[in-house]
Formats: sequence, C-alpha cells, structure tokens
Amino acid sequence: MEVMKKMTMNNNLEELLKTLETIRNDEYPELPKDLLEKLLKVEYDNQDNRVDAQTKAVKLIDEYFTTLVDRA
Amino acid sequence: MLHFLSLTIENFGPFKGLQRIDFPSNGGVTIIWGNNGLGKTTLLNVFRYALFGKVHGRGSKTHSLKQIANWESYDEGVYGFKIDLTMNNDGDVLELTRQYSVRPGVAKPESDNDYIESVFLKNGTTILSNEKRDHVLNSIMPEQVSRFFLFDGELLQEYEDLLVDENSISEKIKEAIERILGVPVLTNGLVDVIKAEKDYGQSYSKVAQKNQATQQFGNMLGAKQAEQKNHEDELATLKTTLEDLQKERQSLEEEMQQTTKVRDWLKEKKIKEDIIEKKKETLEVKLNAVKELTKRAWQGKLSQRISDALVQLEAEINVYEDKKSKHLISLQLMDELKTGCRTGTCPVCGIKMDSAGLFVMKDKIASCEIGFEGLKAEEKGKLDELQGRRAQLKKLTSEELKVKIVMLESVIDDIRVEICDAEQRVNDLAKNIRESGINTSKAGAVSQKHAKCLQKIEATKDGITNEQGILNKVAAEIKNIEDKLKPSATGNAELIKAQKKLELCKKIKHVFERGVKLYRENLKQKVEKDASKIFVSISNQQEYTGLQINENYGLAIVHQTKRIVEIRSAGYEHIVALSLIGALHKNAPLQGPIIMDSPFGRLDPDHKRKITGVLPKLADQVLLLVYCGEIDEQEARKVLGSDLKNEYKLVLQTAFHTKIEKG
Repeated sequence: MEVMKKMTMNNNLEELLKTLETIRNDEYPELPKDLLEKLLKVEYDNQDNRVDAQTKAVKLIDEYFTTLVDRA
Repeated sequence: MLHFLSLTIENFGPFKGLQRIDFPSNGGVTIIWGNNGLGKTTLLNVFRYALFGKVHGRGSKTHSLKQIANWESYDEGVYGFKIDLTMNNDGDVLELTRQYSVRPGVAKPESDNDYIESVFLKNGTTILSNEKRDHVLNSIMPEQVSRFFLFDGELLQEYEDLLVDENSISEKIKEAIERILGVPVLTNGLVDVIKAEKDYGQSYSKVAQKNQATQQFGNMLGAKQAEQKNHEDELATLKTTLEDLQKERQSLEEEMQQTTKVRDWLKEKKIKEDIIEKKKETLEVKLNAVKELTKRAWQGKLSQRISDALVQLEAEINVYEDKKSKHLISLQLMDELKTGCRTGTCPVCGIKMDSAGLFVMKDKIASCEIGFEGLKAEEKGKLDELQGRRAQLKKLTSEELKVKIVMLESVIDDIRVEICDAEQRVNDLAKNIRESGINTSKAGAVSQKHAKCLQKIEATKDGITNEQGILNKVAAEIKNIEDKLKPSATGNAELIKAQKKLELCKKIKHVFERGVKLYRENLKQKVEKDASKIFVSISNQQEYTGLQINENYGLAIVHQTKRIVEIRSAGYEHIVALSLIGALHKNAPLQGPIIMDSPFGRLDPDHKRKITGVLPKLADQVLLLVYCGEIDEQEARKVLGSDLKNEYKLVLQTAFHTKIEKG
C-alpha cells in the first residue's frame, strides 16, 4: 500500500490559505491578499479562545480599512 | 506531531502501586495483551484521565473519580491516584502530571469531596501556568476529537449513526470530525467577519442618519438592523434551547432504558389488577346464582313422586296428542281425495278415474271424517292443563337442578384459580418493582416527559425555521435600503467611506462563505478517497470497490455495480469505522498517537490480519490493547515485523491488582 502523505499543522494552514486565495483571486482580486492571510492566522492561533480571536479579527479588519479607505 | 514517551500509573484502577510503560521514541506499534477484567479499558481511561481529567464507564458515561482508586491500596490506607504522562510534541518534551489526592485534614476519604485534584504540565524544566497549560493541552489533543485518538471498539455503533441525518450523536461526531480536519478555523473566521460586517452596517446607518438628505433611509436602515439583531438573538436563544432539549431527550432516553422494565411491570400489574376486579364481580354473580338454586334443594326429597306423576301425565298427554296428530294427517288425506274427486284424477298415480273409482274415493272421504275426528273443546282444554302441569313438575325435578349447580360450581372453581394466579403475579410484580429501587412515579412519568420533550423539540425546530425565514426577509429588505441609499451618498465623504468599508467587509464575508463550502467539499473528497483506499486494502470482498461519503462524513460501501450496500454486518461496520479513522488521521492537522481498545470485535481472522498490517500506516504511534486470542500473537508479530516495537502483558495478581509486565 502506498505510503500516505501526512498533513502537519503548517500544511493545514497552507491548505486553508490556498482555499481562500483561490476564491479571492478569482472573484475579489481587489481584496488585499495579506489581510486574508492575517485573518486566517489570527483564527488559527486562537482556536481555543474565541473572544480573543474575534477581538483580534475585528481589530485587524478595522486597521486595514483605516489604511485602505480612510487614508485613500 | 505528538508522541508518547512514557506512562507511569500509581494506584489507578487495578494498577496497584507504581507501574510504568515505556514507548519507543521512533513510533511504531506497542501491543498490550490482557484478558477480560485485567484493565485494558482502564488503560484507555488512564490516558483519558491524564489528558482531560475524565474517566468513562461503559457506553461512555463519566465515572466518579473516587471509584477509580485501587481498592487494595484504599484498604491499606493508601488513598488517591496519580498519572504521569511524558510526551514529545514537535521537539518539546512535556511532562503531564494529574493527581487525585486526599484533601488536607481528611483522615479517610469517603466521597469525591474528600479529594482534591492537581494538574501540572512541565515543558522541559518549566512548569507552565494554568492558562498556558490548558492552552497547550487543548492544542495538542482537544477533548472534542479524543474519540479519534482514544478509540474504543465498543462505541463503533456511533459511526453507523453518521449515515443517519438529524441525530444528536451524529451531530457531535460530525463536529468532532470537522474539528480534527481544521474546518472551525474557517467557520470561526466567517462568524468574526460577520460580526465586523454588522458593526460596519451600524456605522453606515448612523452616518446616514446624521445627514438630512439620507436621514430617512438611515432611519429605515437602523430600524431594520435593530429588527435583524432581535431576530438573530431570538434564533440564538432557540438554538441554545434546542441543544438543551436534545441533551434532555438523550438523558430521558437513557432513563427510559433503565426504567423500561419497571414501566412494563407497572403496566402488567395494572392490567392484572383490573382482571382481578372483573373476575371477582363475576364470581359474586355466580355465587349468588348457586345460593338461589340451593334454596330449592328440598325438592330433591320429592323427586321420586314427581317422576311418577310425570310418567302418568306423559301417558295421558300422549293419548290426546296422538288423537290430534291422527286428525291432522286425515285432514291432509281428505284434501288430496277431495281434489281427486273434483278433477276426476287419482291423487296417487295421476290416472283418470272412472265412476266406480270416484265412488270408492267419496266413501273413503266419509269414513275419514267419522274415524279421525279432531279434539273436542273440552279435550283441548284438558290437553292444555296436562301440558301446564307437566311443565311445572319439570321445574321441580332435582336432576336438572343438580346439573345446574354442578356446572356453576365448576365455573366458580375456575374463576377462583384465575384470581389466585393473577394475585400471585401481582405480588411478584410488586416485589420486582420494590427491589428495583426505582421511583415508580418517576418511572411512569418519564415516558410522558419524553413525549413532551419531543413535542418541544419539534416546536423549537419550527421556531428556528420561522426565524431563519424572517431573517432572510429582513436581510433582503436591508439590501434593498442599502441599494437605495447608495446613489444618495454623492458628496457625502463620510457616508461614502462607511459604504466602502461595508462593501469590503461583505466581500471578505463572501470569500469566507465560499471558502467554508469549498474546503468542506475538498476535505470530503480527500477523506472519501483515503478511506476507500484503506477499506479496499482491508476488505476481503472483491466486489466492494470503495466508500461513498455523505454530508455527515458517514461512509457507505459501494459495490462494483455502483449500488450502495445499505445493510452491513457488524464486522464491516468495524472495517468502515477504522477506514474513516485512518483517513481522518491522514488529513488532520493534529497528528498524534492512536490508542485502540479491542478494535477487532467480530472480525474474522483474515480481516484481523489485514487490519493489523494497516495499523502502522494509520498513525506514527499506535498502542493496541487486545486480549490473548483476539488476534493471533505469532501472526501479529509476523505481520507487523519491525513496526512492532514493544509488547506488554497485563498479569493477574488478585481480583483488584493487575501487574504490567514487559514482553
């Protein structure tokens, strides 16, 4: 039987990023790629603390919008 | 990746004193052989206790910890227990200690309250804070996914439930599967982006309200957003209620299972008591009838005289009845003869008669009229009187009376036996109910509570569907208002910025929404593919070509004709469950050891051999807990080869003491 490739934690994050990037690239190229990467990382690193994850995610979006929209 | 390095057990279950298992650092398979009752399942609980502080009984119900301490040690005055689990997680050596010890000031512990539990996690030489400890433990082995690492062969039925939709157990397992596959990262992200979208939506409506040109739309938007929030809160409340009701339903169903016997006994007892009541009423009636009949028992003394009188009466009655019947016959004959005279034809042979024949016939008619006269009036009266007297005398005959009494007494005896049997059964049932120790009013009420709970669940589900419908409608109305507001924003820089932020947020939301769907689809395809590979390598049935996954990650067997094999044996249930676990481990971001307690169940030797061969490929480190004979020892060593790193035996010392021996 073939040896199966095993996923590591990093591979999983890459798979998640790849999924979102496929959609962003096809449908919403105007969205910053790194915003989605950072959002995903915040969720990934705070899986056991939802309150922290939400606070950080909302703050991250706000900071990006301040740069993208307010300062544009 | 997580690896176990060593396990030290002190006074836990049958493992008295200090006992240790070492695991090779390069992974592989460790087999622990132990017959029934020596502590194999307890070993699974050792890991469960160390990692999560819980111990499961049969059927995954949580045990009281006080019961877990070794009984012999307890009798010798050594209380509590301790587990030390040393692990390597991606290079970090972690030592987890969980201890259940006597509370200071307690001489002899009697309940869980007399103990305290302490948990320490050391990383290298540093003891982690409680918060850090919990964070590390939750990231290396979240309890929600423990079923895929601490595998109990007895709970395989739960995986078959995945094939059935709308089931509280299948919902839990589905959540656990998605947790292990990393889906919550995306679903949580979506929830958080939606929160951000709501915040930006509210900012947008507030900015619109500030300007006269856009105030009306701003107010409408604000009102709709408030309405949306109310319905979302209501939906969240309903979902929580539904969860609680599902838990209540499960608890009631467990209670019903325990009380099924008692409820059946109560039902049977009621039926028997009703029967006894009816039988007693019937008995009363029959006894009264016998009483009435025996009042006439004196008639037995006159039976001979009554018989003689009846004989005489019968003789007299026969004389009159004889005359009466002869008259009736002669009337019939005369009718025939008169018809013959009228028609001129013989009533017997039908031939035309001559005048001589007719003369003879007329003569016959005349002699019948004289010879067979009917009863005169006084003779009729006499006959009636005689018949009446006969009827009265017959009522007085004791033979008829005796027969009636005997019949009634036989019926009474039968009824008494039936009552006696029913009363004995009622006593037996009452004894069973008493000895069960179950509160009968509770037992009777539980099925009513269950029925009510099911009704509430349906009503709540209807409420949820209703709220979701309303929310969809309100979302469409909000979009409508936002579309109308957009053109009015011209010249209003603040409003335009608020609009842009909201739009960007919606786009991020769409990316996450689509991402969740796409990721799930991809995962399901991968799990299906990998599970099918494992399944085909284990299964002996050449005509089964793979597995097909459903929305709940349930796996159905596919035949070479593409048909789904609807019903499968317990053995194949094992094989499918193991295939799923193998596929999940292959696709999961969490990598760790698998501990399997009696995974072979009802498998035949051939399938056991194949599964044994597949074990090293399911995870880097596998710990197999089996009884001698569950798999063939020589065969297992041959199949595993160099992948088999260690063997231990559980050796009986006493009923409450098992020793773990190497080799």
